[in-house]
Order: sequence, then structure tokens, then C-alpha cells
Amino acid sequence: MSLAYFWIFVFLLCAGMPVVFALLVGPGLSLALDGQGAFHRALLSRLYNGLDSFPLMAVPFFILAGEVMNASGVTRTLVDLSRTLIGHVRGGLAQMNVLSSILFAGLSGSAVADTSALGKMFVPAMVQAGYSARFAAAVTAASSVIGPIIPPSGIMILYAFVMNVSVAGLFAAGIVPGLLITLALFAVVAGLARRRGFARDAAPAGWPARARAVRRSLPALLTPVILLGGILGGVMTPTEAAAVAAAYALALGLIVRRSLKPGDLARVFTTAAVQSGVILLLVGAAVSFAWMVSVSGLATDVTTAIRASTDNVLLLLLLVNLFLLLVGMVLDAGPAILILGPVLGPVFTELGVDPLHFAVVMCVNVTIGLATPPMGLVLFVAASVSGERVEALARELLPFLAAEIAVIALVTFVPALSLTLPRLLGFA
Amino acid sequence: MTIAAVCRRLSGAIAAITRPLSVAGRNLAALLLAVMVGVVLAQVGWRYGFGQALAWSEELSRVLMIWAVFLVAPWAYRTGAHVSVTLFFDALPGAAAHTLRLVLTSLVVWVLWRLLVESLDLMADGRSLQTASLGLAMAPIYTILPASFALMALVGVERWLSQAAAALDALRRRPAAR
Amino acid sequence: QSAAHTLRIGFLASPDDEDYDGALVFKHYVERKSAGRIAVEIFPSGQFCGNGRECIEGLQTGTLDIHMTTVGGLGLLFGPAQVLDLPYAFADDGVAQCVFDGPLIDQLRDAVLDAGLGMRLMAASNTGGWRNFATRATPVRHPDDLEGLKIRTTPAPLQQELVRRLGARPTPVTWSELYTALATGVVDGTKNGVQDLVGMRFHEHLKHIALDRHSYMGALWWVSEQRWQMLPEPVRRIVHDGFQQLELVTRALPIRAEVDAYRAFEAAGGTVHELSPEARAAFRARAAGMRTWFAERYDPIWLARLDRAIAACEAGRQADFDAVAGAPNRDPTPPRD
Ligand code: NA
Ligand code: NA
Repeated sequence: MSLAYFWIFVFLLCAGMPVVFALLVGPGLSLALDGQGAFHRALLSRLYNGLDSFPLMAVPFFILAGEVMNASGVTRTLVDLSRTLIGHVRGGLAQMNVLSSILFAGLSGSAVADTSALGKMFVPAMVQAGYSARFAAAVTAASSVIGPIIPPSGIMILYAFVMNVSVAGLFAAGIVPGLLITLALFAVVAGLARRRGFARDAAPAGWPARARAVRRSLPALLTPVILLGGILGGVMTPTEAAAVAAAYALALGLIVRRSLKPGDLARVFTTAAVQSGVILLLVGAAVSFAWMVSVSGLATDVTTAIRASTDNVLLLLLLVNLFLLLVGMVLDAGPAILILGPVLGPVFTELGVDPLHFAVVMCVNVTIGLATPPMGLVLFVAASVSGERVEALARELLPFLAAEIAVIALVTFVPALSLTLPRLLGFA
Repeated sequence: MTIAAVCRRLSGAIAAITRPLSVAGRNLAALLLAVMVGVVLAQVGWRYGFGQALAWSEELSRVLMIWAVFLVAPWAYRTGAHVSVTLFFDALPGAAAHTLRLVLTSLVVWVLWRLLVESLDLMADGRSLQTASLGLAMAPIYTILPASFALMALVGVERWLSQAAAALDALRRRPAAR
Repeated sequence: QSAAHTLRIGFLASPDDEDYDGALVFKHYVERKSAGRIAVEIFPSGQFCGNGRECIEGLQTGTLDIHMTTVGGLGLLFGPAQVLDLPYAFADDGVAQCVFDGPLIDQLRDAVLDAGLGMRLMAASNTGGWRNFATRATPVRHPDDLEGLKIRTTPAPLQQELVRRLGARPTPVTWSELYTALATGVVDGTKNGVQDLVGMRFHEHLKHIALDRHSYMGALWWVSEQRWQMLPEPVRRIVHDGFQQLELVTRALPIRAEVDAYRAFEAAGGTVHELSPEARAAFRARAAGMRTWFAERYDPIWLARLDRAIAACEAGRQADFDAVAGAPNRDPTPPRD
């Protein structure tokens, strides 16, 4: 079978065909041209069966949980908490933008969707507090692309699904790298705050106000605890935990906070169904495409070519990092992982790189690539949410990206950073 | 009546079918998502509350998820919710953009048509197989596939017609402007 | 590229599994014997089709040429095949392999073809030895020890019923989530071959294996009937002989690989429990009702066929032993317990 499908796919993708259709038309057209139309059945079969997976169901459940929390204003309690706790520190609201987006971003598996949702909440709040829209958008973009590294994470579920590694193990592997990036972003914000002499956002809140804010945001802060505790404590599988998180968020909004009216439910469920339907259909199409990659021998060719190029695993990891940063320019994190994971993962596993380690490197990379100038989907979304020009935003992003890329290098070359925690928890 | 107007009229006629159907599909998918949450909660609840694992919950929720995905798909296509990379396309001059758009839509309709035909065959062949725990026949489960592909293909035709109308309009405007 | 026929083999097991070794031997034999007129492509790890149902559909429509099903997997399509999965049916590898060489397999091939299911049985072999109960904390030395334990099973009704009759709680968990489920204690144990346990690194969390050998992990290798009908006679012969090579390899390798797997299991701190004759009898007694369970659902003629095949094989083995030992001729059918 020829490799025509691959070039057709690349052309259609660049020409603006929806990714999900380009993934199907590429192989479909090339098979038809080769007189192999009988194999269209296999494309259909992979499309259906690629979705027929219980672990994958965590994706719609996480998206639902995220939607419910936004709709019921649970997320806003976190902003309030940050204001009372560190609002009086220079750049306090910016620091809290980092913290809350890292805790709650990444539910959907789409860094683009997270940036727009968080941007809509934080950018106006920060502008109101006296920050430039440009800086607010840069902080939002830099921190929300990294949200999916700290669990819960939609793209990690996708990776675990395509590469058959443990979701819980991958979640555990993401914690330390995610914390490192959080610290790096904190440092950048603190440095900029001092250099630019940012105003303090508020007078120090009194302890009673802080206690109130903690009490109000406690239920939201409990969500990751329930999730990770449930998974790591052996009560539930990750998929079940995702369903429980969604139900918990619903109960919180409907019963405890009463901020979610029964009438809002239809809208919330519809939004979640649409978002997850779009991502999951893409999963199915990517599985079809992966079938073509494997049947045409492309996967083997790539593997052979990479192996022939050098034996130096570190050099290969460096090259793959650069490649993934480039990919992040045009593809969202979810599609990038679905399309490239099955090709790249096995190569590095065979070279002796731990599957969990490579998974973390890949997940960090494809998300950061989204915000890297000159172009990237998150960059564009952040620009449109803030009304800033892309070039200006890109310049503002540079110190953040430099910090993130430094962490990528650290995580790439020190496997213990990602592997220690899963080993301690018995997942690797 | 101009050709562009005919295209537009036809597109509108098709929209009268695709709009309500795709909205209904999307709404049904939202309902199925709610049922999925319930089924998986029941799975956890039964295991811990009653010490009995449900044998059917996983399979049922998987079927529901697949149905939900294919129910949403026509609406997502119709409203342009599918992700695409438009960087390069936006840089194209008008005429090239119109032509390219028509070619792309034709290809999408073609692939949806092929998937429709294949899924009808799959249903015919799938009769001998059963699901693992509920023992359900596969054919009724597969019905969502041709239904979804047919509606998506129809949406594609609708879009093609309105894109053709826009292209014809642009063609007519240009010489006049000169 | 000069090959006149390309045969695509797709299965779910990884290249570390003996299924892959069997496919490799098949490929080597068939390509060599046909002087390159037949090309064979192997797709392990679910690259071609991701679950049993999808692969079977591929065989039926001719997109996939060769596939291996487990007995449970075939059960989705042809229920009576589960007769081969009835617990404690075969005494040991020798009896199982003898039955798999006998008329029962020919009857199965004919029944599947007659039902118009579109696949032809080419080889009946093994994939990973025997299923045993493996547990995290509780050593199982008697069926009583299974009482109340959450044991992971496939969703197949026969497997669930067996676990229930033995007093445990059948808990379906997806294979890819099983490591986490065992690590965290969502389930207390599973029932698999030792190679799969070690291959998936489950032995990091499983500490006991009870060698009850409740079922022989039969591997049924099929050719798409549509494709078979298109092959000329001489090619069919080469393919047939290639499957015999595959059968030799896939039957022998699990027995060898098991040795290393048990060693790895014990090296990781696990204990392997050989059952006492009394415990074995207790397991059999609790599972005896499975025959009735089968007869209520499927044509009981398959039970009779199984019994006949086993009796003949056991008699043959006794005769072999008598010939070696020089013992006086005895009743050729020893009583079965
Ligand atoms: Na996160
Ligand atoms: Na970028």
C-alpha cells in the first residue's frame, strides 16, 4: 500500500478540512485510488471499535464535571479564595491565575477549550485589577496549557488509551513535573511583578474573610482529593472516579450551593455531550488512521529510520521534543497525541525509555507547543479572548515559555522526576 | 432564478430536514450522557453497597457512549464544531478559497457516503455476533452508524450547495466591479 | 511485491506472546514453501482489529485473512464452542492436546462452517497454558478460601457463572484497567495464565497462585472462508501445513515459558500453591453444575462429544503408559474422578 494517504491527509489538514474528516478521507481516498476499496470496511470498523472502550469514557465524564463546576460558579470560589489569601502580594491575582488553572484545567482534553474558558474568567478580572490585558492573556495561556500535566487530565486519559499504559500511573507521573512547572511560573510572575512594580490587588484580607473563603471553596478543593483518593485508594477505577466527580459536581451545584438550577442542566449536559462527542469522534478517526499507518508499514519505516539515525537516546529525545513543539503549532494536544502517540511511543519504549516517562514528555510537549510563537492554537485563542495582537502576546509569553521549556529539558533528561511517584505508589 | 438562487433554495430545503434532526440527535446524546453517569454510579454503588459487581453496566455504558458520539456528530458538522486548521486557508485569495472549499466538502460527502454504504453492509453481516455480557445482537446497535453517516452526508450536501451559491455570487460580483 | 497472495494475520496479543511466535513460524514456512508467491503480514497488539468481535467481523468480510480467537471469544459467535471452556474438563496438557487433535475439533469446524459464519478452523492450540486463580492477599488452598473475594473475569457468562459457583464475586474489569484495579484493590484477584500475569506485571501486586487449572487456554486459529475459497489448491495445502507448524510451536512454547514466569512470580515474593487431591475434588464438585448450565443453553450433544473425546484420549494415554511400563492389560477406560 502506498503512502499517498499520508500526504493527502497533510494536504487536507492544511487546506482547512476538519481534522476528523481529513483523518478518514486521507486513507479512504488513497485506498480507493489503489483499488483497495474493500478496506473501507476496516476504516469503519476501527472508527467504531476505537470508541468501544470503557477507559475512554473518563473523557465525557471529566468534561461534564468541568462544565458543571463552571456553570454552578464553583470555579469562581477559587478566585475568591486566591484574592483573600494572596491578593495583597504583588501580582497575587496573576499567581492565583496560575494556581487555579493548573488545578482545574485539563479536564476536557483540549487545551484550547481550557484557555478560552479560563481566559473568559480571569482576563476581565485581572484587567479590572489593573494588569494589562496582554499580561493577563499571557499568564492564562502559559498556565492553562500546563493544566493537563497535573491530574485530572483529559489528554493523559487519551494517551493511556492509545498506548495502553495505566491512567493512574500516568496521573501519578505527571504530578512532580506539573509542580515544577507551577513553581517555575510562580517564579516568573514574581520576578515580573517586582521588575514592573505591579500594584497590590487588594488590602490584606482579615482572617475571618479568609476562613469564609476557605469554607466556600472547600467543596471545590475536595474534587481532586476525591478523584485521586478514589483512584489511588482502590475504591474506583479512573473511569468510575470521573463519573463520581461529575455526580459530585452536580450534587454540589444543585443541592449544596443551589447555584445550579434544574433548568441549567439541559444546557450543561448538552455542552458536555457536544464537546465530548467532538473529541471522541476524533479518537475514532485517529484509530482508523493509525490502522492505515500500521498496515501501510509507515510505522515500521519511521521506527527503522529513527533507529538508524542514532543510538543516542538523549539526542533522540531532544529531537522528538523539537518535533512535538512544531506539531503543537498546528494541532491541538488531543489530536496530536492520538495521531503521533502510536507512532512515537513504541520507538522510545523499545529504546529503553520508560513508557510513563515518555508519556509525560510527550504530554508536556504537545501542550506547550500550543502556546509557542509564531503560531499555536492556544496563542490565538488567548489573543482573541483578550483582544490583544498575537505578536504582542507572543512577546509577553516569552519568559513563561522559557521557564516551561527549561522544565521540559529537566523532565526529559531526569526520568526520576516523573517516575519516582508512580514507583512509590506501585504503578511502575 | 439564477443558479446561485437555486442552490440556496435547495440548501434551505435540505436544512429544513437536517436542522431539526441534528438538534434532536444532540439532545438525545445529552440525555444518554446523563444515563451513562447513572449506570457507572450504579456500577460503583453495587460493588461497594451490595458487594455484587454488575455484569452489564460496563457494556451498556459503552454502547450508550458510542451512540452519543454518533448522535452528536451531524450537529457538530452542521455548526462547524469540529476542529480544523484554518491558518493556511485564511491566506488564500477569494476564488481559490471558494474552489478549495467546494472540493473539500465534496470529499467529505464522498467519504461519508462510503462509510454509509459500508455500515449498511456491516449491519447485514453483524447479525451472527452478540455482545459479550448482555448477549445483545450487534445489528440493532450498529443502526446508529448508517443513520449518523446519512444525516452527516446530507449536512455535507447542504453545505456544498450554500458554498456553491456563495462561490457563484462572488464570481458574478467580480466582473461587475471591474 | 511479486506475491500473488497476501495473507494478513491480526491478533490481540503482543509480540512477546507465543501467538506471535506461531505467526512468525507460519509466515516463514508459507513464504519459503511458496517461493514468495504468498506474502504474510503479521499485525500483533490489536493493530489490525482491537477486540475479538471486530477481528471476527474482519474474517467474515474478508478484510482480515487469519485470526486467533480464544474459546470465550468464539463463544460470542458460536455458543456451543464454550464446551471447551468447561472447568476441570482436561486432566493435563496431554489430554487437552489429544482432544484438540481429535474429532471434536473437526465437528467444531464443520458446525461453524455449516452455520454460515464465514470462517474455517485451521488449528487448535494453546495461548498461555492454563487459567488459575491468582489473588492479592488471600492464599487459595480450597474453594472455601475464595468465599466473597472479588475476582476479575471477562464479561463472558460462563466465566462469571463459574466464579459465582465457587463462592467468589465475579467482577468484570477491562484488561487495560486490571493492573490499576489489582494495585489498588478494586478486585482481590483474577484468573489468568501465569505468563499473562507476569507479562502484564500483575505479579507486582498478586501474591498467590492456586494451581487449580480450571481451564486450558485454547487458541483457535481461523482463516477467512471468503479468502480460503479464492485460494488455489496448492496454496491451500501450503497454508494448511503452515498451520501445523504454528500448532507445534504454540503448543510447546507456553509450557516452556511457564517455567520462567513461575520463577519470576516467586522471585517477586509470590507463592504458588499446588492443590491437594481433596481440594481439587472440592473445586470439581462445586463446579459440577456447569455442565447443567451448559446443557440448559446449548445442544447437549456437545457434552457427549466432549466426553467421548476425553475418554478416548485418556484411554490412549493409559495404553501408552502400559506399553512403556510393561504392565498387564487392564480395562482401557480408567474411572474418572
Ligand atoms: Na489538571
Ligand atoms: Na506553537
